[in-house]
Amino acid sequence: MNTMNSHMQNESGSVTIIAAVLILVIVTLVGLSAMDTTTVELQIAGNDQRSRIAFFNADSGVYGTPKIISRIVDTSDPVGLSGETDSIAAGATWDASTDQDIFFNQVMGYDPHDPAPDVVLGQGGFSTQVDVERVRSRILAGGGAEFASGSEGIGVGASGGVAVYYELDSWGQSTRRAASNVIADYRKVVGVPGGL
Amino acid sequence: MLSTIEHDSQFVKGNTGFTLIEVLIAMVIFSLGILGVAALQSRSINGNTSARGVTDIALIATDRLEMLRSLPYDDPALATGVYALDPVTDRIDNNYNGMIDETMPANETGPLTIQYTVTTDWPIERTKTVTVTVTHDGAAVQKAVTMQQIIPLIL
Repeated sequence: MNTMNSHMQNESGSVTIIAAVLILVIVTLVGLSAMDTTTVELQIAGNDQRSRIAFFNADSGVYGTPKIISRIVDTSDPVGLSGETDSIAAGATWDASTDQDIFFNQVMGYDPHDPAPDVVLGQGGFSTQVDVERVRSRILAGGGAEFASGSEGIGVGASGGVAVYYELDSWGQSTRRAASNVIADYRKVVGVPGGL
Repeated sequence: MLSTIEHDSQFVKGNTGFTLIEVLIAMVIFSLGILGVAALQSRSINGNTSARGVTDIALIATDRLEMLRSLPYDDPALATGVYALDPVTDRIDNNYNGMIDETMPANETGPLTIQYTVTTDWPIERTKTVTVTVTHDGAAVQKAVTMQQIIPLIL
């Protein structure tokens, strides 16, 4: 037994191999962790890109939809979107839950708000869905010193007119189900030119 | 321990070092492993470069889109049309050499290119749609990102 043991002890080559394998294992682990970092890095870069695209799509909804609301309030008439008569928006359609009359009634405040999306904008292959909610209306303070409405021009009377507040809830999309939600308030001052 | 080795040296004379075969086997195993790890590192570096490219084009596209939407509605840069920007005047570092729009020693040209399209009265009247596409023409793969924004006419 003693002789056998001393023979095993003499195999100093096996120590070299064990050391080599140990170093290899360590280096491999370092390499694998680097690979893991790379994978995460790629995912971060891709997700960042998708979130930006989705955000711009959602933001576009907030900038585009006021044009439709403004037109409805100014003309007191329903507006047509893509494919309808007197269309003002060739690149926009109604959501399945609404049409030009339903939307008109909601914007004018005749009907209660329906939480389903209203306007759908085609944005770079993705559809941006915007829900419009008429929140409240308010009489604005005028800037006139005398109670002679309109004597000093628009908005300088005793009353500055009526402002209608809308909440726009816009959902933008991108690939891999990335989505972005932008909520904005839009204030339409009735009868006053300007704004969106 | 020491006594065993001493005992051994007496038993088999001069067999205290590594034999040539042992060293060779160890080296072969070691270099095979190192080769694998080297391949792993190279893939990791490629992946990181690729991720950088993706991040870069997303940043440049965002930057350009934000710049364009800050312009007045009737700005010449926002006239209807397709714009493929010249690398020498596009205000970005197309070739990653730390200089923007250089003409010395040579006119700037590089893997990054910006192109944008302006559509008027789309999707709604009195709005413009700006579509910015930034392309990174790498040695192996071509990456591109497209971002779109509606710019309204504000009276």
